[in-house]
Amino acid sequence: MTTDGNDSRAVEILENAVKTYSYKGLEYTALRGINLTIERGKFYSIMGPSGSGKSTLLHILGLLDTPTSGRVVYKSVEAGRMKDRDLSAVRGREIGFVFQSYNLIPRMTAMKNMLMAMSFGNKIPQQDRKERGQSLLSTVGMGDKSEKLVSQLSGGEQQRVAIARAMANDPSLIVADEPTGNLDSENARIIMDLFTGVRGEERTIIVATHNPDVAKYADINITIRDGKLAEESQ
Amino acid sequence: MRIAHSAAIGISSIRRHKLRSVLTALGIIMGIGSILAMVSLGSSFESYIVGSYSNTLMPNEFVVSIGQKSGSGTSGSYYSVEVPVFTTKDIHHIQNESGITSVLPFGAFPGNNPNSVKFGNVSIFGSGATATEPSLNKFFRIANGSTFTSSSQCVVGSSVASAIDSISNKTSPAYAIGKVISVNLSGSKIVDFTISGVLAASPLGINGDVFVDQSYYNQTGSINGTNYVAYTDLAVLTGTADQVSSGISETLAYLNSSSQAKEILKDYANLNLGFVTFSQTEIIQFIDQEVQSFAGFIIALGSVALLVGMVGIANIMLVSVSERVREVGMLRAVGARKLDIMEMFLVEVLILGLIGSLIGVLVGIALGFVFLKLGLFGGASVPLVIDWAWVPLAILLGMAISVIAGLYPAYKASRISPTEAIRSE
Repeated sequence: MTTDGNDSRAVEILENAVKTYSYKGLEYTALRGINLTIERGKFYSIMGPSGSGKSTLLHILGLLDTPTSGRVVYKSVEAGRMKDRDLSAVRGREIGFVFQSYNLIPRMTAMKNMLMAMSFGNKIPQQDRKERGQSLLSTVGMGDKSEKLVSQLSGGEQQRVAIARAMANDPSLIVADEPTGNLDSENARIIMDLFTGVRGEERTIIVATHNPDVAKYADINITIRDGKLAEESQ
Repeated sequence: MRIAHSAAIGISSIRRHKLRSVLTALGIIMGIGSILAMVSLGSSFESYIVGSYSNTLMPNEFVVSIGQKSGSGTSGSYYSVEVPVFTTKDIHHIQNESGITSVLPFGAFPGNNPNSVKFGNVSIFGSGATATEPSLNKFFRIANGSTFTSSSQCVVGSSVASAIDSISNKTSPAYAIGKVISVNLSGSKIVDFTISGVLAASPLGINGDVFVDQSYYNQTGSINGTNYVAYTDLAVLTGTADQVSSGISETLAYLNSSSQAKEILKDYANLNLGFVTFSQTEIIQFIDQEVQSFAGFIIALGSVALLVGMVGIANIMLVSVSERVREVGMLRAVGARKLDIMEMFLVEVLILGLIGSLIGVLVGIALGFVFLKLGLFGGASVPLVIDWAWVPLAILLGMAISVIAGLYPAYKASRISPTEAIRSE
């Protein structure tokens, strides 16, 4: 376990993170030594062309994946040393995910999707869950559709529910992979406004995108190319 | 509460894919259904047979006959044959044994042929005459009418009565009473008898018999050149049902040691004959054994169906897992542990197993009913007896098998990496 005494604003630190995939004897290196510090309360965009490694980086930052070598330190704890149940607990309680294709359970209602996330996170007290679910859905403008089946909602509506779900367990980090990729520009704007709305002093947002308009919302733009950080601009 | 959500996801998946879920459960439905149907048929058959024996043979009664041994060694089974061996002396001796209250001799007339018994001009097939005493009604239940009181009357077995019914286009069980049949008693002696009573249907092989007074009987057995009147079967009553087994062993001990019957049997040495007994207890034990081995065979068959069902469940669950890679990845992303994912699929398969087993129970009962209606037991109207003890057992079995079948797919689902899952979009 490593503590990070130098930078009290740091939520997550990547040290020389390398990720290599091997498939049938072929090796492909997606990340070639990334050093990155993610700070509390900041809005990051990760940009880069297809195959540049941005999704891989995002998955490692979201503790969905671990680097082949190098270290990931999340809130002073090295992720590589955590067991599945601990990683699951961190993902459930601390990190909210938003995906390009929403990834809700379509055969359940918006509210059930919210409750399910709170159940796996097990952070919000049982008796408060329903109320919190309703209020978060209202925040994203879906308060009147909480009992609708997800499959009956439009893409933009589903993504709004997904953002509410990402907020369900009051996470300190929200990780979004091309959240506007499947949406028209009007819906994309609504979604990005929501991200801006839900960030706070303590909440960090990381969005991977290749849409420059989306990147405009970020405080810090990180560009990745061929598995390496190309630039970091404020 | 996590398991409640796992269950909710599983149930929503089952509801989403109703047809596929039913197909998945089909193996379990058929396996449980066939096992339950066969067990029900077995117990229906058993209770029917036991019921009909106890209808004919009283608990404190046994029958002694001559059997021909088939197979070798001591374990071969006997086929009952009609050979005149039991003499008056033997009957007296058995009557004086402790616990035995009365003995009724039966003398089957030899040479029964399709024309032995006629009603009007119509022959009653499979029917033949047996001489006995009027006390017949103390040994076998008379369903209609009464025993014969003179040598011009007779008591007939149930199939003789129903033959008379069908010849006359009647269905009343009492129709035969008072009708006259002509009976060929050994060779050329044809006598007319008025039917005074009809016996209850029996599995003892007496349904085709016409019971007449023993004054007509003249079959003999020979010992050292001397002929004695000898009967083919004996029915024996004991004081209580508990005395049947000691009565049987005493009777057999006597017959096999100092009886005249044993001497007479020497004339038939090449036929491999021996004394055999029937009693309610013996017959029930025998049927129990038969039903048990039948049930064992059927359960083996049902197990094969369940095994096939298990492979089907495993296969379709694997398909379901591969279709839900993304869902699993998402759940892992929102904090589900590997264990939660396993639980989710196991709950799903458990619910499928429960539904399949419940439907299987209904299918089993329905199958049993249909088989009985189709006349599986030679047209006898056997009522369906459901062995309720098997129902919870069958449901548990179905669920256990489903869970076992779901273990590998559930394990596989739990190994899905969240990144791969999300990447599959």
